[in-house]
Amino acid sequence: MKSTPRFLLILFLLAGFGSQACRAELSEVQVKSAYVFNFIKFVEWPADAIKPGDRIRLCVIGNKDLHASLSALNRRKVGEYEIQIVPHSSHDALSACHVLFIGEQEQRRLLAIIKSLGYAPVLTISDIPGFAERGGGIGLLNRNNKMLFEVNLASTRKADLRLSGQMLNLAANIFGK
Amino acid sequence: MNKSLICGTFMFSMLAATAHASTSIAEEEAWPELSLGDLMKVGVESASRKSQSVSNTAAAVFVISASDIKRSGALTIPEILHLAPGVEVARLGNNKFAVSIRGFNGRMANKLLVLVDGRSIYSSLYGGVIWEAENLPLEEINRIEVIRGSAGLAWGSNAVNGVINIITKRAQDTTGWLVDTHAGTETGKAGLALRYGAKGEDGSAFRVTVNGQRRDGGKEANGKEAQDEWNDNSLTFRYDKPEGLATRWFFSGRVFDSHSDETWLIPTFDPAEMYDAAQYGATQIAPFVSTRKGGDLLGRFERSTDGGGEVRVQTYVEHFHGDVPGSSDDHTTLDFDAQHRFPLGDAHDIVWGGNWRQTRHREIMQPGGFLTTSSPDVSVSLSSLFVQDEWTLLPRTFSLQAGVRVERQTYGGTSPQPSVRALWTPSETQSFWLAWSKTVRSPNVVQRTMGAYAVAIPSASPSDPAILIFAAPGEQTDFGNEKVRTLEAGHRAQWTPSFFSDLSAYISHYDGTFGKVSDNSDSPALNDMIAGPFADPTCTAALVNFGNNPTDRGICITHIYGNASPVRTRGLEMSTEWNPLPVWRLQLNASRMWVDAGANASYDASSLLYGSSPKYQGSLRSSYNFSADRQFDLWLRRIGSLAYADQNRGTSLAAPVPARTELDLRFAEQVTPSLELSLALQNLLSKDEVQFHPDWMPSLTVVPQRTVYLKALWHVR
Repeated sequence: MKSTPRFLLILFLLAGFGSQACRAELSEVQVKSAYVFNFIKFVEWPADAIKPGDRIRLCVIGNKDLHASLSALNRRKVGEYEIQIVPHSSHDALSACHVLFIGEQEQRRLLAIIKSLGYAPVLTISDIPGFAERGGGIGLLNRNNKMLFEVNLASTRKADLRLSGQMLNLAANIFGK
Repeated sequence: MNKSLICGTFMFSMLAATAHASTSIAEEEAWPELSLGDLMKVGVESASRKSQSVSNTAAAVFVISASDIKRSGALTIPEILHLAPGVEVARLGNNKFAVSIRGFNGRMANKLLVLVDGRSIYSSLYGGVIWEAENLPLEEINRIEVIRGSAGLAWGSNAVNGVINIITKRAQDTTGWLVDTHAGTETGKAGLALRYGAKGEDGSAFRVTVNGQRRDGGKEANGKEAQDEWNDNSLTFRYDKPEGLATRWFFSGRVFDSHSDETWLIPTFDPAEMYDAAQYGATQIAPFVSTRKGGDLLGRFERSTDGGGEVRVQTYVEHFHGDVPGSSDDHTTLDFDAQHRFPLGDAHDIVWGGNWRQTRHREIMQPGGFLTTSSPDVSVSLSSLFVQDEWTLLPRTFSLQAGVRVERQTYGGTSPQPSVRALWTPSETQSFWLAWSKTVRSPNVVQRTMGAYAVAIPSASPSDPAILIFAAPGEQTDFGNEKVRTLEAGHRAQWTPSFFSDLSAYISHYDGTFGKVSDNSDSPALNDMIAGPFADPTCTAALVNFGNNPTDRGICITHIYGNASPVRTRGLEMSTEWNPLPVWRLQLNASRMWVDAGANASYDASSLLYGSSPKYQGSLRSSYNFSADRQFDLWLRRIGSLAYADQNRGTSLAAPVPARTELDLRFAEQVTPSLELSLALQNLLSKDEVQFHPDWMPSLTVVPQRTVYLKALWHVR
């Protein structure tokens, strides 16, 4: 038993710095940000919702970290549009967003928010469990440490959005077909 | 997948992080370039524990995720529970566990409520959980929520020191084939779980799992191979059906069959040996196999209403049959639960509901054993109503929660269980909470109706009387609810994106904990009894039952049990999580507890009160990913000594159990996208030491040994 401390020390060293091998892991916030950014590429808004030269208004509520992370994308171009990260999204103006990310902190008000959007052409995205199933647009889900997404076509149709088939092919679940 | 980009970037960021402990710029620039296809393959490292549900709760909550479960290498639920701070877990061998929170640990620790998808697995016969019967396939667990502290308002009686909610995955998340198999030594001897799940066109999904586990016996204190093998088989299913967007149904069920070997030390009362000091009343080693089988079926309906409300209705039926020498546990439970949640104005969130449960126990006694009962067939019913309001005084900053549950139980009567909680969230990264609550622990069937011949002291010569000790059932004193008042406070903070801390402190007052309130050994009649035959008619009758001659001389000492001493516990709990690197997560948990068992109380020899819980314990977990496909986990635990002494009287109840250090390691490699191989080494520092003395049932002391196993997890969607 005398060698235990040294044994442990070696294990810790191994655990901490033993390998500099490459990895393929990102923080949760980064993966979510990347998904949001990607979804925009695959969605078509109705013509009266966005005109050439307009900016895509991207709103984030209920997740400060994600907002901060997505802010890095401000003014970045997706196709013909530039992304505009809306700094403070008051709850009244949500229907003016093109993309709305609803963070877990808004879980309580989820149904009220979805209801308030009505038929507004807003792509809703959330990491709240069961989001797509409960009437949201795109839900992100963590399954065995891999982030997947599910889509509710009834909701996106209601918002008059068109989602590319390429994206739907990758969805883990599709509701409201 | 653009692997070279990711790898190159990460190499750099890792070096940068090592040097500056900060996130590299290169990494931040890399992620928007990933395609959807790439993203689906990227592993997600949970940066923090801070999810809304945890950080905005005015209670000490810890969530064990499916990934934590897998990476812990643990094969049983009690071992997994050790991941949460403040949870006491001790092994009484390879098939018996003592699990508790905030003290009072024991094989039937009765101040902790455990639920599986809302189905209580708390035994109304013994109190506590019969862990031998709870072998959920681990791959089916979505998460385990561990709530420390008093939670009678939300969960009802027995949630005195905590609630453990085991939540299974939805069937939609378990489609395809899964094979989870392992082979190794000791508790990891062999296991195979086979699961198939599929999804329908309408969004519904089902899964079926067959699971078999084989575990070897441990070692007796004298080094002999112990008879405590544990084998079990089960079949579980779950069917989930969403209906429209707001309504969900699910049904789940299982049948199981569990065999666990045990050796009891049973006192013998053979009249032929009456005057042989070495034989009469001496304990006899009785090995046997206890079998437990049963099944359950649960259905739940959930509906979200337009106004932001939610309705949940759940029912389950359960049948259980367990056999141990002298008694059996044959019961059927039926339970209904309903709750409705709705917002009232902008600031109020109301939840109200009710619960009704009935458990019918049949033939809990076999005649002629060393146990007695006043009623072999009993029915325990429980009904309750509750209402609570969460009042947001300052949006996102300050809220108050208050409510009461009024519950009625067969033995405990009607009791209100109120609670008041306050949550202050000065910033998004920090919260403080304060709570006061009152919860009851209801008497169980054994404590109320069973008597036991606990100790028999043989006499040295035929002229001396034999001494028999009889523990009388609690109904003689009308043993009722234990009442517990708890004051708790806590603080949670996400100090930096990579460092999270959670602190809590508590003080609990227990009124009328179960224990011995008096005995007749000090009575003046004792001297007369020495001269004459057994005087106590109950005792005499029982001895006749054992074949004794009623005219034989002897002393029968009866211990009377009931609501005994007040107890006070105080403690501190801490859990922290630090991600020094994006691929490396460290979790440090620690807890400290003080027990002041009623100085003014009458004599109580219950070891459950005195020193069956450690004063301190701590654990350090390191989860490191060498790459997306290769994981290394290290789990070091230190558990303080168990005193097993009555501090008021200065008497020792059993040999103290020294403090111990435990170490578990796990290496895992994702060989192909569908196959993961892992090697787990558990209890590495074991010196084959006793972790806990058998209590409640007269088992032989068994020591757990090292376990090594190799596991393959194959999953095809």
